[in-house]
Amino acid sequence: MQDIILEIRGLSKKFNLHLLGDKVITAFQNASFVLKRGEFLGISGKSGSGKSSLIKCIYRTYLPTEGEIVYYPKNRIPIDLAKCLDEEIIDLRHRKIGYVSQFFHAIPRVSCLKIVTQTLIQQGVDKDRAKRRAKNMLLRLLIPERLFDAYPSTFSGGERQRVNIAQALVKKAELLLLDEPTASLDKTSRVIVLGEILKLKKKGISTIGIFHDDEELKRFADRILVLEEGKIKEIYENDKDH
Amino acid sequence: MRDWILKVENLTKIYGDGCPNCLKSETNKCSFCRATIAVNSVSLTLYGGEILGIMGESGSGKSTLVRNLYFDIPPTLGEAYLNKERRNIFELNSQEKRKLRNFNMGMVYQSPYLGLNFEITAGGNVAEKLLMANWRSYSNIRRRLIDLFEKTELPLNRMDDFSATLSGGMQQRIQIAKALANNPEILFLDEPTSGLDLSVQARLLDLIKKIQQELKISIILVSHDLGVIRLLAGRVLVMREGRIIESGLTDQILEDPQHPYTQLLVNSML
Repeated sequence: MQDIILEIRGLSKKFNLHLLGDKVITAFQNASFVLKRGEFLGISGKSGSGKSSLIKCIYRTYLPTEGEIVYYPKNRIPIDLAKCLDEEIIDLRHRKIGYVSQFFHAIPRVSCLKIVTQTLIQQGVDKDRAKRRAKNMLLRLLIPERLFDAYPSTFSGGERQRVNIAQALVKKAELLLLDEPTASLDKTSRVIVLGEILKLKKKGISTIGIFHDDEELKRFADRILVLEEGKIKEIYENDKDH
Repeated sequence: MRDWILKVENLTKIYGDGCPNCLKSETNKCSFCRATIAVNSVSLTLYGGEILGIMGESGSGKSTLVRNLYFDIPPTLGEAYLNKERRNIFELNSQEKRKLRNFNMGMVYQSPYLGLNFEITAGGNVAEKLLMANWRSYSNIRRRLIDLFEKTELPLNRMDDFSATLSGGMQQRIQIAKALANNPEILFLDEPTSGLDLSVQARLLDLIKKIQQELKISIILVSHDLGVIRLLAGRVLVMREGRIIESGLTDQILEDPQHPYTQLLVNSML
């Protein structure tokens, strides 16, 4: 399975809302697809079609209801992200999987430089190198040096999102999950963020990405998966060399 | 993956005589024998360098659980293993238990009255733990005290003041200094910041986080405050009526709680 990094089989997510008289809401159901190594798979679909839930299930922020998420790490035995131990997920999050959430929960009273540095330290990078790489990444994402020791909770929406993107992109994960990374950005920073994502793609990092803007999606994606009311409608090759 | 440090299996604490039906009881009051099952068949694993949160309402058994593990209260049933010590720690003799407690564990109680001796000085309280861990030289102890006071951001000029004269936030810092004195592998924090005002609480939480990152210590953190859990814990166990009803990654428990009680708890967050 050298050419596949992620294989999703029969994955469903249902929310059982006990406080609303056990009301069941289905986010998506019976999703099956693969992510090839080095591929960029775009997910498109209307708001509420289950895109974010799908990504959150892969990252275990949501607990999948049914199905398997088989992850094939390089030179290691495959692991089912739907059922493995929490401790194994923590380990993978630290070392292998990057995630940009739609809304960034900045840890209070931690400077933006520290947030980005920390993700590298968790990956095993030594402190000085981590700091240097974190600074570089923040500068590339247009976070000025004077903000390095400030808390992202005091930042503007766009700045905060760029810190969020920085902490995910800096660590060169093997698998990258992007949930509308550019939604709250202005045009300039959007172009820069997209450039950074493109760089990672050229380095062969496998990515699943949701983009608000279909034009953006078509620029990156090797294939596009279309979700409609929680079901996969189609997966098609994206002809981006036009 | 990280190695485990502490493994607990089927830990149970029953107040009262108990009967065969106690463990099957849905609530923490046995309907057959009227015994109280404070902790009911709890199993957990603590990994090296992690903060494991335990949340749940008052009376759910959180504090009893950590006090069982710190040998304050003997459990009725169950086993616990430390990575190095392959015997059930509850079956050790009292001298061996004291040794584990003095050399391998630290505890911070919600109430400083439980953790500190108010009849002696702040420094004396910390020194007590060092003496129990066989520190003998006065100058070494004094040096270690200064180091611990600095680490926990306590003013050195209060070292020789009586513990009772210190503020609530300082008393909690003394407890933390005391708990860290012997460089423990495992730290138990039982509602360490409850009852403190917000800014003092924030500084204390930041201190705990800093210490954890620097010393790579493994922590079991008991808190009913979801904000504290979110800030510090990587994984969480949810307790109710003495049992663990749910466990998971902190972000998963907060965003996708499964059990009706956890859903209620998360929805009650301000």
